[in-house]
Amino acid sequence: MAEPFLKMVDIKKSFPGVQALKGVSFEAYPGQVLGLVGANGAGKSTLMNVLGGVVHPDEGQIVIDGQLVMINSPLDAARNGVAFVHQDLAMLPTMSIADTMFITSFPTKTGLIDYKETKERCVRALRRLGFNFDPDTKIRNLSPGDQQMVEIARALLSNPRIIIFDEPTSSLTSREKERLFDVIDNLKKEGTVVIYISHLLDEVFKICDYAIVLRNGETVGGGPVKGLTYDDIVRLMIGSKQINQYYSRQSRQIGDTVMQVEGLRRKGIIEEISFSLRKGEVVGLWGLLGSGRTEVARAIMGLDPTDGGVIRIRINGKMQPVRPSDAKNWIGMLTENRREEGLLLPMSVKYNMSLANLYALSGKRFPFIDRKLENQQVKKYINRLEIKISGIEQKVSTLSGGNQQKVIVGRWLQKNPLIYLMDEPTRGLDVGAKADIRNIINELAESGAALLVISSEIEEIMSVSDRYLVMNRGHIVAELPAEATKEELMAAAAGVR
Amino acid sequence: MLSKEKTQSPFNLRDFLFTYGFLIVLVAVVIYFSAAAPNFFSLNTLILVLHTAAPMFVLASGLAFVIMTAKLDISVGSIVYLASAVGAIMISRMHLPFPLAILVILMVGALAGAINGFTVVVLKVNPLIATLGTMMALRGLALQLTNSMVISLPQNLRTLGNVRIGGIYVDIIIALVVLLIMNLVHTRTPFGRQVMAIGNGSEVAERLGVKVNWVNFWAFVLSGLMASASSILLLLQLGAVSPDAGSGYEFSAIATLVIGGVSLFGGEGTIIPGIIMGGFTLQVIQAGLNYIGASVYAYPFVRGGIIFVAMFADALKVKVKPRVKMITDEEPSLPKVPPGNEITPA
Repeated sequence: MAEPFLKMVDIKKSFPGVQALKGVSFEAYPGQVLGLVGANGAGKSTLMNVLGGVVHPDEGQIVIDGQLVMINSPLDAARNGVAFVHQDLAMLPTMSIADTMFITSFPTKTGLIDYKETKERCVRALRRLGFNFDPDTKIRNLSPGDQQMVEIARALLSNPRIIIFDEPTSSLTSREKERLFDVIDNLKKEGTVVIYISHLLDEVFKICDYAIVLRNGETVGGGPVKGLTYDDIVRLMIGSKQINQYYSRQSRQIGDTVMQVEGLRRKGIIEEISFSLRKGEVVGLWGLLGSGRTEVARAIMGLDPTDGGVIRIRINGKMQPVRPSDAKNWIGMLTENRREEGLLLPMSVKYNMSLANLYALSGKRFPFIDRKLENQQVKKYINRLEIKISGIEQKVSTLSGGNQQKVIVGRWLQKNPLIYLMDEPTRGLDVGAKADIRNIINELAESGAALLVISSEIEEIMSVSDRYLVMNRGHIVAELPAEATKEELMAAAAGVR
Repeated sequence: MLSKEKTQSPFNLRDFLFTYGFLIVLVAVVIYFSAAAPNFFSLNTLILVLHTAAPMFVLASGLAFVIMTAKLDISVGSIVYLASAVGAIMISRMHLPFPLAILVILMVGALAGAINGFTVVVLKVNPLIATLGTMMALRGLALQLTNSMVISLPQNLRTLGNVRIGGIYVDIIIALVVLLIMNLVHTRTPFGRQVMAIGNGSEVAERLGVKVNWVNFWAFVLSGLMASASSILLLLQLGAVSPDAGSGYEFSAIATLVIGGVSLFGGEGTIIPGIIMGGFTLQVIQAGLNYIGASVYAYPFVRGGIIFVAMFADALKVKVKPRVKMITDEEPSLPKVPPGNEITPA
């Protein structure tokens, strides 16, 4: 084969607390679709953000067309012929397709936008992808798949020689996906270097010529897709490290069903979600990024609208249907973004902890908060959870991530709900704090609560779960017992049956 | 070969209703007043209504750019007072030639707008608070300059505001020309389009490469400039500046815009026909209430109701925004594994 068009050599990048890339090298050739595969946090996106000029590498070289290049900004990347189709689209809903595509590059005539020219160019760019949209169509009237085509058409305006797709199919229907693959095929025929980031193996096998697998910031393998099997890639993605011996799991007393979800759905996001939680049980909801796992939790809690489905919760010994907007009275939730959604950062530990429980803390006759009772309660849970603070008036924003998470747990403990939903409960915590949170999960289950734990770290979910629900593209695709292996979990989540 | 996609039908009822819903209101209002007051429906009324609305048209056409970026500028009323006060002092006390005074007035407006822009863009002050500050400060400054006295223009200028060409007041023509220019800026310049892009989402616009700070700054300058331009029309109409000049104008202008379909959430609306419709509706109601001999206190009440409905419609618009066309998925979404590649549980 000819010379590689793009070479990335020994790229290293560390973020505070984590080395995201530990010296990754690869080559890409024109007319080739290169698949970049790996589990969440493997470093795929960081690597491509380096190429796209969004992230600056600590070390390493980028060679494009035989020239050593410096890419310090997205503008530099564009100048070197690199275009990036991001997972989250940059769209202007109230404006037209033509406006969205040319917003910073309108052709002008004597200072005024030349609309005739703009529309002609827009139509030409869309035709190249095989589309016939009216350039005046408002973006908000387009489906997510069509919006993505607009995004791709915009990326192609600069005639890039390298184009990166970051998880492009996460919001597409299968028909839209086919169309995207046709477009990628055409780009390939035109001699463009296509880099395709995905953790969905069927897609990689379908359109990529060559695959590289990343794990923990390192290239762990790769080769022409024809010579690889699903098995090979799954093994490369998760590595050989066995973790089951790290965490011993006691078998728990599992009781009656306390929550039952039936046919929960939100069009285009999650479909026919049905499962039940039992007393004293930890269920791991496992799936890769974008599989809909967070959306399930949000739908149950009434944080997102739903199109249908029933949630039943055991109230006074009887299973009763509950509206999502009322679910928070029985379910304690730890959100994925604790800093944005879970905590009032400028306020004290005390205020944050008593927030969900203010009525129980108020006096019987007058609606004022009983300060003595409040302090007493807060201190009780601070001791129980071993939260390290200088005093209950300390601001939550000054705490470490682990202690912040414990503050949220403490808030719910006061309310003592039967059911907990925990979305990424240990994200961003250090090893010690992670272990603490895992212990709390175990204790809660032993005390009779039912827990649904969502995590993108397979080791973590394996260390706490009694049962797994595996999601892929908004569906629950598998239910696995506690004995399931890492390979089984990863294969189910990657869409392999 | 890829299959051809069907294009969207050009007519969208939802878009139409939200853009022109108030046209229906306007027509209803006109019909009502015409029925209630026999001599209401006449060319003369139309000209008078437009004459009164002219300064508001100009004021709103500048403010529109700030609102379209999803920000607010409530200092425009005070800018009207300050600019016309400075202008009146220049003319009557310092005997500056009228054209030169116009230039000074416009500079005062642009400068005030630049102060707003600087405070919001560079000092990162919330636009509402920043312009609340200038609203109070600039009015204070103008009161200081005039000693809170009425300043009259010389006799020869006082009639200028009521000059007609072919029966039409000159300020109507000026206002329409200004609206045409501002419409051109809005629809045909990269600046105008980028204002709309910012209204859709500052971060998205930033990612697309729009110079968000730069555009925001100039939107405020434009708003200040147009406020002072409107103050010239007002000054000539009244022939004098009184201490309460321009007070409450900011809210009339916002009401004009919202009724005309400019969303307070940004990224939506037109100069033409939006502002003309909004300003016209408000003015027709005021004139109509006069014609049918309603109490002078009826107008603020009715206007408040109309503004409330307009704001409610605006909020509804945002609520229905996420509706997107979805292609239904008829194939099963699970992939098939090539034979021999199934993973067997260990």
